[in-house]
Amino acid sequence: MPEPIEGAVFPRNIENFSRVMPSENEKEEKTSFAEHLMDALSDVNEKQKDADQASEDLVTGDLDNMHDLMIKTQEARLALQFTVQTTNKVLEAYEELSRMQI
Amino acid sequence: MSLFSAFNISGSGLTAEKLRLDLIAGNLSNMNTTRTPQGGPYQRRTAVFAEQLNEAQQRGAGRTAGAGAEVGGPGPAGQSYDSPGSGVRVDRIIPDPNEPRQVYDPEHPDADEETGYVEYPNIEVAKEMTDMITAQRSYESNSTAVNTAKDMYMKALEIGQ
Amino acid sequence: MPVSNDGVIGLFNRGLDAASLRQDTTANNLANLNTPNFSRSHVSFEDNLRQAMEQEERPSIRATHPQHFGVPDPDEVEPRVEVDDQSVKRIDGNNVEMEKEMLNMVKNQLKFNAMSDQTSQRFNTWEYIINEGR
Repeated sequence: MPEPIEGAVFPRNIENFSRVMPSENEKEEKTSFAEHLMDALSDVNEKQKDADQASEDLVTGDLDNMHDLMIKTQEARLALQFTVQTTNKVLEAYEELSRMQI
Repeated sequence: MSLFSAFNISGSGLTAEKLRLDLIAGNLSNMNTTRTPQGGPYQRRTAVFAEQLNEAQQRGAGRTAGAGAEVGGPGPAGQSYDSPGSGVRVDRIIPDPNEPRQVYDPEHPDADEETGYVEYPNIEVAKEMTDMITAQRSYESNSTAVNTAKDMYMKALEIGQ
Repeated sequence: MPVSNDGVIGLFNRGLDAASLRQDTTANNLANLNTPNFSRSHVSFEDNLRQAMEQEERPSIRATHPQHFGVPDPDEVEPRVEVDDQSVKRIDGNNVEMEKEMLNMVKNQLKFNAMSDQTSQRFNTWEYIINEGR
């Protein structure tokens, strides 16, 4: 069995092609929720900028493909929902915790 | 490749074939026209098509202008592009170079005084009809392409709904 | 961020790009059905992608040095328009066959629709997971 190459991911089928899980060497330890939230918000921002650019391209006539715009719009929307939902859940948990102190 | 390039390309095909049909109709209706404002009988007309190059191809063609760049082929075989050509255009409308038909009819007003022959256009119905069917089938295929492109666009609009 | 990292959606996106380009290419072939000396074109993408993905599963072929000859990364395979000069030409130098182009167009449309639907389904699933998951 040859030595696996460091940092590489070998997909076995189309599901693994998504590379959703980073390899060991790439994963960093995130300790605080604040850091996760900042990452999520910057991702939402990026996605929204992409979607806005595609929308602008549609109006000016620079857009190459309609499906491009639709996919970017959806991704931006879902990124925002994910961030909002995650934040809600954490806040709920925090409130529940703070109620426990007597 | 712009958003509606599929429509523009197919549209160019529709325009070109429609022009060809118009020329054929003109040829058929003037089959027996012996007198024209230019003098002489009506001359059969045909269209010569050429590929409409897209912008990148036009730049390339400008650098290596030769016989191949003028009529037809998009470029050297095997060359890859990010987009195909932009459809078809009518390069020129040429009169038929063949000699007119000569019909002996001294009584005819347009008969030549000395020989008695009248010059008729060199147009055959069978040939024109064949061309017409070809043009029509081509027109229909371009029309189908327009509908297909539209169907795909509408489908893409439904993503995420 | 699960949706952004979903490679399958990215894959569909590129598949849709290829199908879109194929429609343009087929339209160009059909428009030039009667153009003298015209050679048809086709889009190559799926075969290149499949090769790149298969190669990726066999690490021994991977290039370990940037200057070695390597196989393309599946993420970098792009749709390409290639001229087909080899098909049999008619007397006018044109090699476009209308029936063949029409058939390709139908197949391409069905594939485009399928990928489009699947993308929608995938987004819907993500939305469900994000909003309803506990």
